[in-house]
Amino acid sequence: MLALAQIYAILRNTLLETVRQPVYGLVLALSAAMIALTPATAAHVYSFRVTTDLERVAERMVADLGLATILLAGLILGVFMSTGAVSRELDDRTAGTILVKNVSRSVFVLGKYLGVAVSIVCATLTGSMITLLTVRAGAPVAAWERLDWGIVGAMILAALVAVGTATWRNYSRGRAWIGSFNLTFMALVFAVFLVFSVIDKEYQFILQPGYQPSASALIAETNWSPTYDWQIARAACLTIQAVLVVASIAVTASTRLNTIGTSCVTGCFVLFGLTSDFTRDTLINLRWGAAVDAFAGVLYMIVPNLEKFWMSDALTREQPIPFEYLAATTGYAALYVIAMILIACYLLQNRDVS
Amino acid sequence: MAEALPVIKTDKLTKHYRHPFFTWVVRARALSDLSLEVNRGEVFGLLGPNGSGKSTAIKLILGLLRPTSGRVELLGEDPNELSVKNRVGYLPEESYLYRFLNATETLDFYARLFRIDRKERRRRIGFLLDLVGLTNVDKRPVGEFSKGMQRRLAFAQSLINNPELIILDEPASGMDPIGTAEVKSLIGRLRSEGKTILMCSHLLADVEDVCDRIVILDRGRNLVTGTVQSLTERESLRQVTAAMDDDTVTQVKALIHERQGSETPIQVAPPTERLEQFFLRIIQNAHHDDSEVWRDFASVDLDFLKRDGRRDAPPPIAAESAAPPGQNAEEGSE
Repeated sequence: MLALAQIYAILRNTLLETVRQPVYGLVLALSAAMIALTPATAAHVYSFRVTTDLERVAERMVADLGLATILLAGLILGVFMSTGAVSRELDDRTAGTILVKNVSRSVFVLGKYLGVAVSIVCATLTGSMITLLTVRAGAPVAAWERLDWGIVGAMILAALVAVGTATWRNYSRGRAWIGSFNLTFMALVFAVFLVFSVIDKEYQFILQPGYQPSASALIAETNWSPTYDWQIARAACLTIQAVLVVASIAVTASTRLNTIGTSCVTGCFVLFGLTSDFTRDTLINLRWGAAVDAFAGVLYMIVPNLEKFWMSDALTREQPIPFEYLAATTGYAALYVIAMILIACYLLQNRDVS
Repeated sequence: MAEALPVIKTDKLTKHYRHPFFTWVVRARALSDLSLEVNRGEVFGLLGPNGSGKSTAIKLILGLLRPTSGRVELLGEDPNELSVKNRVGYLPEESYLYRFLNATETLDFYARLFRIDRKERRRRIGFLLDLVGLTNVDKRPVGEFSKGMQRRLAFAQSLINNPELIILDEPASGMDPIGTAEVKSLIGRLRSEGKTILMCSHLLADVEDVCDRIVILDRGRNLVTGTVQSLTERESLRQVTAAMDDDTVTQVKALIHERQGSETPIQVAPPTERLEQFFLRIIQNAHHDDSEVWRDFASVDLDFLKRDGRRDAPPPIAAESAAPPGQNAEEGSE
């Protein structure tokens, strides 16, 4: 029980430190703005010809860019926050103040990873919810009237209230502006997401007795959901898992390497991970001998296959993401993260902490 | 008898830093064959110039570094035993704190590591912030603190678990003379409550004021160990301080020359006040409102840090969270 309490304390501390960092707020705000403004880009791209099909293509594009933004933001946060949580703590020697107390090194690593993971999930989940809301609000390729101004207004209001709350708390209570903004903004986006999850596109309350959605209220892709395109939600869920896998690599590397070393190692894993199958096949097809083939096999085993988490192609081709696939990939991600954290615990165990 | 056991015991403790890749290459010999014992209830000082191995010795004692050879016993056990660390407080050389947390959150975090329950946490945090004079800035981010304020907060975190052994690495580093005087006063007060204190410093006057015994290190080697009194005493000389006029001084000189020979050197000069005391007196006089410029902890109630602080405390519920003497009862019962 003591270890659990300590893991929670370190998790909480890491989360508080992380969400108050300016870079966290910057990545959160920029990614939210980029996702929310994607429909405007789509309007320019498809403005030469207006058809219903193009509206759907534009929606796919919004989802695609949304997922890409979530992945990029998650990777930046994953590497930056992971190195900050372990490598920089070892360099800045705050880790020493924890490890001289009755905290084992394994508890320290686990608490740090979980703290980083929760902070990354908060940011990427916010991005995912904004993606779902943006797709539902629609891309104004046909006419601005088709845009769901209720969602647009709610999201703008959430941003303004977050700015106002952070400013007020900073002025009246001296609290850090960025920390207040991050927490308020994420909470408000979640609230907006919840509200629109019980209101359909025709603004009918879906929980009322005898509710039957009209054909126009249904999401085209799923043909059953009157609120969000849950295929995008599944794709986003897998993207978040990819980021958590990368964060575990960064945490492991940062137990022995400095910030730059950790970033380089993690970058290599991401690069090979995103081209995992291609790299292995290319190396084998070169026919340079058994040693190279063996190397390709080992590389394939060590590096996470991040292609399995990238569902943008499936969305573009309008292929459903089965629940079984989601579950299997989640299991793969969980096992990979556990293996990485075990290695991280081993690596930190015998390290001098100055 | 348990009391006779040394709180810290090192036996030929050695630490060599090696090249990370060419491990047979020794880059620095930070500590060589250090053997020392720190007894319960004493204030023990590690002295030495920069790079003499003081901080390395402390980190080896705390289990943060692995010794190249030799042994360390902390409270009779291996320093890497987690149960031992429950009973130790540590103030590092620099105040390594989380810059985005405020003072309350910082102490709350360290208290949670010991699984102290919420009510007790609040009580201890309030008491410690008052003790180190940070109550008025408890909601300000630590990153905005001055170096002295960070030092005070770091001192407070080292006491949050009511340790029986407190290890202080340059405790007055970055503090003004008032803060330094307060730290020394607090160290004396903690000793009076039975705490054992190991401190390292290169401010000799501070060490002389508070330490019972010292060891002087140089280039990782133990040069001398003993009580401050025995090491600094000049046995052949005697000093007498008394108010006297010039005639009396002349007579005393004559008496000494008569008894010990006319070649005996005699120095006569008015005694001087120590600069620290002079400084504090001048500052105090400048405060016409009689407010307390610096806090003398000699008579301050140390609350949960008292020797009998655990008298009203039930035992901890879990063996793994075995509380040190004086630790409050509600620990481990969250």
